[in-house]
Amino acid sequence: MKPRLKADGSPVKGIGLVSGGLDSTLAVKVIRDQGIEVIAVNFSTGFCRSDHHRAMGRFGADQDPGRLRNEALRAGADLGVPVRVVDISEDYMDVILRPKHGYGANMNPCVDCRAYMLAAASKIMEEEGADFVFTGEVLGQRPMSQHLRAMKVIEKDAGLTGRLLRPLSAQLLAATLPEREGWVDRESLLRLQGRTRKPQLALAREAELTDIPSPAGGCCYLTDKVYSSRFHDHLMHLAEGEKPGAKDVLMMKVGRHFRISPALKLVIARDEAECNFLTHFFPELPSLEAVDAVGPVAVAQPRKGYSPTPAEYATMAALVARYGKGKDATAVKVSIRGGKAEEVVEVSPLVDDAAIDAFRIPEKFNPRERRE
Amino acid sequence: MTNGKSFQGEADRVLDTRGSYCPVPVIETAKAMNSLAPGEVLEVISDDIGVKLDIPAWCQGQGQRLLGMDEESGLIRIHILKTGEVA
Repeated sequence: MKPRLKADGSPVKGIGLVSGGLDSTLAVKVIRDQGIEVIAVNFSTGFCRSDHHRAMGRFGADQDPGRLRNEALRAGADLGVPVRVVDISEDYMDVILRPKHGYGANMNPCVDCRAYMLAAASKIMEEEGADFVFTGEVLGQRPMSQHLRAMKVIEKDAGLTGRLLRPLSAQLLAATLPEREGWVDRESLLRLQGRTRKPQLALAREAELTDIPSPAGGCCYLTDKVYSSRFHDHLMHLAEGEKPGAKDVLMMKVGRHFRISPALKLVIARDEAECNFLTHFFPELPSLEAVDAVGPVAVAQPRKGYSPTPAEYATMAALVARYGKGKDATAVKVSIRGGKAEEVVEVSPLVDDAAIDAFRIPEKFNPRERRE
Repeated sequence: MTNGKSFQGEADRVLDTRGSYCPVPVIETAKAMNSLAPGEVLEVISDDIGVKLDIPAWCQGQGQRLLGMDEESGLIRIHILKTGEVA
């Protein structure tokens, strides 16, 4: 392919935000097909569902490697475009905790998230001496982050005014600097809009890009109600001045979660892969497991500096016993490991549904609410 | 995705990513490749099965050459020849 050049003879270069889904893959193709040099950037926030599925694969959940691949890397390989994977998880936490533009229905700060990623891409654009940033956004496709007004705010916040191109909807939007300068041929850009994916699927077939995952719609855990309720509950019970860490983010992805007291949470694995996951990632936390009946592994997560009381351990043991094969027994022995020595307590499984429900983390919450 | 080949030569640098999983092994591979000179070989060791697809895909997009991949009792070793700049 002939490289596309600017008036001074230097090659045109674009930075693309790529998830590896249908839209971002097509956006890369549209730009690359013009002979423009592309660096695809894939940001890792720590909240991606597919990353978690991959992690669970290691613990025995789903060993089909086809489902474990990073789609952005796959898109880069298919299109012959280099992909840079960037870990933004640490800084990203501040975006989630204090979003300037608020939350969606759950803990998802979509507008701020988009702005953060675009600002990071803008920095890469400068470092690489590139000319513009582009995304797979389609006008009117998503209710919150992709409507026109929000798009403009995002562009401004990211410091990209005029240099942010949406190749899939470009002909419906005002011409950007790269289009006006002729670095990008506006005529070969697209005019897609709305929620239908039919035109994208047709284009993908035409380009023989048949291996793209079906649109999952919400790869991000923060758009998930249950995950968000756990995240919010965690925020409401953190120690003063503490922020959720990478391990907290991990823990919220597995198991059944019970709030035992303001300073104590219990997470019970739901299957063998989750048992392995909890054992592998949280060896520093107290763990509970029935010893005389088959049952799940559970971990207790106390607030920093808090030691659970014997009564709290008994409550947690009764819950753990409930989710094992010994749930109908009158008494089950549960071992408690961690911190100091191993201890075994004998408890009656907690079988009263109302009593169990009282420990569950409520799914209804207000994303903006914080602890006094 | 593997080329079915096994690389028998000596690597110029060995990157052990055991214990970390997606996307860390790929990020670390990119960093390590950046530190090599063209013509040098990186050996990546991983116990994350995802790398079997991701690292060859990374190489293909980046235009680096995958020399071989071996797997023995859950441990994956991948050899990559640096052919040019890492984007």
